[in-house]
Amino acid sequence: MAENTKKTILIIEDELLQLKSLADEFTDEGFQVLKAQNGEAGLALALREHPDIILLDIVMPVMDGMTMLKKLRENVWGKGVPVILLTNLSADNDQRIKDITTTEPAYYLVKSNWALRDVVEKVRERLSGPHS
Amino acid sequence: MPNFTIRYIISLAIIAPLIIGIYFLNGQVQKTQLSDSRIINLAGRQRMLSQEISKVSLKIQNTTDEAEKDAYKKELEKAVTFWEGSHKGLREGSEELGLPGKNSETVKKLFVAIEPVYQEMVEAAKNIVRKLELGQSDTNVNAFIKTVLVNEAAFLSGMDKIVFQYDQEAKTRVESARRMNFLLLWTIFLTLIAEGFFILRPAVKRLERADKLKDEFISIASHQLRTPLTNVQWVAELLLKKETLSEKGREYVGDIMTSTKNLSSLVDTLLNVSRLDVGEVSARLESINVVEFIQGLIDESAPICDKKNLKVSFHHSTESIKANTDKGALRNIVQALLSNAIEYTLDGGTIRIALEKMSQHLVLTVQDSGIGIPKKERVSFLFQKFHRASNAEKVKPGGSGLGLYIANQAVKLLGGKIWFESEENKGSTFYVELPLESGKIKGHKLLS
Repeated sequence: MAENTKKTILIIEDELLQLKSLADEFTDEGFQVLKAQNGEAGLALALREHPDIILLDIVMPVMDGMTMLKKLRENVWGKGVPVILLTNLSADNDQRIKDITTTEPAYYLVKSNWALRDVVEKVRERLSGPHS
Repeated sequence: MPNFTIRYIISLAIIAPLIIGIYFLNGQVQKTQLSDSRIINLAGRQRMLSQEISKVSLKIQNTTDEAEKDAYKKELEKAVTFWEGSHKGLREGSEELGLPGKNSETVKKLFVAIEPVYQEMVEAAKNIVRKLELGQSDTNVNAFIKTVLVNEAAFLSGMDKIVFQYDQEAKTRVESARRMNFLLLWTIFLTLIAEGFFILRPAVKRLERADKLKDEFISIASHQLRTPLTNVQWVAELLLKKETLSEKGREYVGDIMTSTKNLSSLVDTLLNVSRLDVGEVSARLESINVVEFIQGLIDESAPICDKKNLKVSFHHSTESIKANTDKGALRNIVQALLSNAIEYTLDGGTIRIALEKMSQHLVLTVQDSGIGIPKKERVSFLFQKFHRASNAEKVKPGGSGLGLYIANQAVKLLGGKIWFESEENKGSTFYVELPLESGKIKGHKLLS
């Protein structure tokens, strides 16, 4: 069944319009999409549903992406799941990204530089890559 | 910071009069010492003169030779005049002798005590001279000589007390001046310490805070500005993909996407300028692998290169070239050169990026097969803010003219050099030489 081969992606993004755009695009591209609007909800969903990959925004209310990622990595399953950071912060100016990119090799995309289909490409690449 | 200026001026206003005070105090001490030593000398001479007067009086008594007597008389007269003048000067002051005449109460009392003895001696000595002039008998003169001799011892012991008292008072004055000097120096010292604690330290803290706030602002501004841009971009992309639009409709949506892309890169550029153009920024150094870093930036631009079908290659002698440098500045340089190469190279062209490690430097080369820079362009103008080569407009209308300016500023910050070779319609090659250890050029000031 096609359903069984469908990859599940969890998108954690507080900006509703972006969440909608990403969800639409990934659904169109044949993904099973899970959505969360903050780190806390995202973490709960991730640990329950075990998605194949996570797209994670950084600046969010309740729990930001960095805290969520840290907590995720403390979990046995969460240690291995590929995560792509998706943000509009620029790496040079933000200490948060600096901190995280020095502790683990995370894929990191500045949203405004990437078209939706390129994000999809990146996700596919990551899923088929050596780290997946 | 007006507060800082005012505080600093106040601290200077405290220190300046203190220094002037010390200067005057020392001048005053010198004057007092000079005057004190003059008084003590004169008071000592008074003792000698009284002895001299007795001695000459005795000589007069003991000689019968008229000529000799006359010579002694003149000697006595001279001594008495000096003696009288100095005595008056010591008690009341004398400009001629440089005496202030400001005696302490103790000294005044001591003078009062010897006054009768002094008066008797002076009168007797004067009478000796007068009688000798009148040619009066020795018996007459001898009576006055006796008076002089009788009073001499009392005068001497009285004058000793005065000299001693003068000496004591001079010592006390020097001591209190020294104490005052010490006090003033301590006040200066404490003012300087207070200045450091309450003026300089808060000022430095404020500067550090301002620097942090600037960084935070740039970070927040970049995030806030990019978020709605991403929304527009992605919604437009979905519109184009999912909806059936007329030819015109697709063109309009395409225009929206191009504009948002341009706006997005303009936002990046302006934020970079705001960071580099503050006049003086200091490099934040960290050790990085430049090969990996540049590869990351090339990857970031992959979507647009693919779209233009550009052949991008990256050549480096080793997998890792470590440099102690400022990531932000390096990103500015590479992004500016790379995005220029992408923008000004026509579809299907090539971009060759090379990184070479020298002993002290690394050299980055970005070569393209693009439109090139016309010969007539003034090289120095190209690195100026808002300046664009004359043929740039045709390929990329509405460019900001900030790319090379940013690259140049960032190169300066890292203490490097930037130059290029170019031929119109053939392509351009930009070279950037950067020190492997940017720390050695710490405090480099940006020219804006």
